[in-house]
Amino acid sequence: MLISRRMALTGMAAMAGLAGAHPARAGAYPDRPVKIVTGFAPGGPADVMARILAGHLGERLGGTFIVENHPGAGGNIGCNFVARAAPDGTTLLVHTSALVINPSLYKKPPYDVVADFTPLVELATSPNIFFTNPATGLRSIADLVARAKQGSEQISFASAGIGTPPHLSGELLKLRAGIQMTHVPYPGGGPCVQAVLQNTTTIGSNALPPTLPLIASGQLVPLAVTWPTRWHTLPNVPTMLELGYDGFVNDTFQAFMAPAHLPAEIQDLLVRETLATLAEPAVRAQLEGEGYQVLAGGPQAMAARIAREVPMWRDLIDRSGIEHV
Amino acid sequence: MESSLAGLAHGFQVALDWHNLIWCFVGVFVGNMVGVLPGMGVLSTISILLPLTFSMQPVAALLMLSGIYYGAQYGGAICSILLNLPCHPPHAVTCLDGYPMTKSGRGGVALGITMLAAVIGAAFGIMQMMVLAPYIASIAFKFGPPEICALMLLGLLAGSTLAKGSPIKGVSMTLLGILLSLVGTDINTGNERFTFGILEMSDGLELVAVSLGLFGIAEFLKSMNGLVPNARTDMQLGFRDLRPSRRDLRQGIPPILRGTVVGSLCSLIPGTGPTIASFIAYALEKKISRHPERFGHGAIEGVASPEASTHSAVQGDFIPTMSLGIPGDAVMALLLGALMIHGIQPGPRLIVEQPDIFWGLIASFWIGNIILVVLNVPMIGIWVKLLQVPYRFLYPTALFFVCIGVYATRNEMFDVGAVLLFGGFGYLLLKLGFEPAPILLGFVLGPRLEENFRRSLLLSRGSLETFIDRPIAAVFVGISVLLVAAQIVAALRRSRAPIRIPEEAFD
Repeated sequence: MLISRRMALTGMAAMAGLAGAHPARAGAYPDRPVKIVTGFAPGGPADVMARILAGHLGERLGGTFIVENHPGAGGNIGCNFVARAAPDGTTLLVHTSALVINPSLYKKPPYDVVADFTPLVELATSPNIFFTNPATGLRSIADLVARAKQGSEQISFASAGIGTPPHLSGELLKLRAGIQMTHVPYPGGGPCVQAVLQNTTTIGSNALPPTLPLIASGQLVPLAVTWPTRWHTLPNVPTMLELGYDGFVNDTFQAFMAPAHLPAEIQDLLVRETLATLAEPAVRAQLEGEGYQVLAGGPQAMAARIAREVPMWRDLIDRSGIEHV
Repeated sequence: MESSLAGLAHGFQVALDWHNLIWCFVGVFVGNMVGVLPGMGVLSTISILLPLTFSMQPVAALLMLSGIYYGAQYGGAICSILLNLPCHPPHAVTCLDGYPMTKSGRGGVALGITMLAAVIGAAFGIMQMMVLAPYIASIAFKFGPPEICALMLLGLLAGSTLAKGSPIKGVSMTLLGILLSLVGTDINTGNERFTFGILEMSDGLELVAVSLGLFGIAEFLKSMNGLVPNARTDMQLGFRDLRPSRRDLRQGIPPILRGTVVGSLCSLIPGTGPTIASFIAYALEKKISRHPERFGHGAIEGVASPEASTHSAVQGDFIPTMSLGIPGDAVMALLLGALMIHGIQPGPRLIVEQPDIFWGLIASFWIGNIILVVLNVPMIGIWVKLLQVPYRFLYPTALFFVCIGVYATRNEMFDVGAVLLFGGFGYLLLKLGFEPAPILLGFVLGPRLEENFRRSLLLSRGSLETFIDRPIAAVFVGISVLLVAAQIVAALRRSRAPIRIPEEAFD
């Protein structure tokens, strides 16, 4: 026991010492570990963004920033968790466009996007991409539509969850092309990519970042991007606009949020350091290489985007007749 | 193969660089410590140490953080075996036979066989990462939703007789475990189930709280109430008692090999990590044993197989993460996050573009595992001596660590309450002759069963034929049917010719 206790103490002391490698200023935020919550499984665009951000904020503010995945229900689980957390700056949220879509998509709105949150920064955005497994033999959206219309096999699409923009992109494709596809929701962009790699679903609809490396390696075949222009690292992949789908532009943004009533000084500090992180050329280059377009807008820009996009998605859901869940 | 050897040679150059070697040692040492202590989790430790790595070389950072992960597995079984405290989920199932072994004075042997299982499991896991990954991955890639669902069904059926005694009680406990796993938010629709509006339950119950309550605290209450005289204090152990005998080895090695294969396969199936692997390995071992009645009473196979499976699954966990850039779980996401902070893009081209990282990591696995064996084997004797600490000091201390550990998993006081509640419940079950082990099985496999069952039906448009149309799924379903049929036949036979089975003393 003596030995084990001594070892235990040594171990704890060592850990405390290591954890204290960045001395926190006494009493100042962040005096406790900060959780950055994401509503999706590891590997998706919000998760990747949260991890990059956590690393840089930890270094800049001299505290511990931990990423926590609370996947499920199209991101609502994590989102709700933060909406109900104490507004002391120790629980933050990096979320995708699901933030502004889910209030209109669910029969019972999971949260109030304006009243429950303090906006911090609009971080970045990225197009959605349709892709497939090489084994399907599909090489374009036209191939897909032709096969679906032929009706000999069931067509399905994987997404990162109900209410994510890639889910709605898929629903939109069904409506616009007049085809049937079964939606198979996964708890995040990572598992969605894996499902298509396994050839479980016919195609995948996903944000660009988790998909890009596997397209580059040839393990996934890109079909089209939902961006106004061709994406700079995928010059051979057509946009939906080029394919004749008017107005088929769709993106997944990443928002940095905190619970409502966050003290203004903590908000200012987080906004300043986040914007400074995004302004670093190395960070910007890294994010762009991974398939993001950096937005770096402050709280006003974030609030304006929320005000703009909530009705936009609500209209889209109503007009397209996507079923409420 | 040749390119792997060349890669490995390069990797050893990287990993043996004194700077990297030191960080690898720090990682496995801290990990080992975390594994032994009931109060620390792998995920929280890596999260805490992550900022430290920002100023390090990316290779050193990765070697250290990975070292924590596999190092923790070496210590993880100690509390399970000696104190019946499953602090680390992958080692929870080791309690079932490890603790009875301790009670009969063979705790040292159990730890010894654990070491052997660790070495064999890990070595296979690393080999798999070096050369076998493409072949095994092609099998694992055949595991779509119906296959995973059928595998989980088989695991549940095989394992619902995890407990000694009545199969009906075993099945009902498994179902209870599945019900407990439903608590939380439905991942498809977002509806809350069985949460009673309690915020802390909206994300489900914490596995660590459930398992520590049902095993550790329940055991504590049982002993407190004098149901069992504490037989431990008079134990005298020489070094010889700590080494598995030739007979132990003969009994232990085949299960180790089977466990290793189960672990490596599970690690490659998306979403099926070391914890599920260890439960399936245990259930399999019990099912194919010629003497299943020995399980739960200190069968060495019941320790060897799940431990080997955990270690090979932990090493195998790195394969999808490194070869696809898709993290399998939160620990792997943290490791990739550490690379991204250094501007390294994880993905399928990592192996080619960053050979230092990939091969350095593999070489460090070999080195790290050797360090761990050297660190741990001499310690076994000391851990076993722990049991000679008088009961009145030992258990309160352990209980204290249990509470801290549960709290630390997600910093919620709620979970401390939950662990105590499950402890009381577990005690009640023990008194009524229900074994808690199948609850844990249902709790671990249940969510994967549900998720993949629903996904399968979505893909097949509600047709159950999907489970028999696909060969791998059909085989699993077939074995499941046989299992149930065999159980019924056995029950019928028993009722026709009632043989009095001698009542076992309640232990």
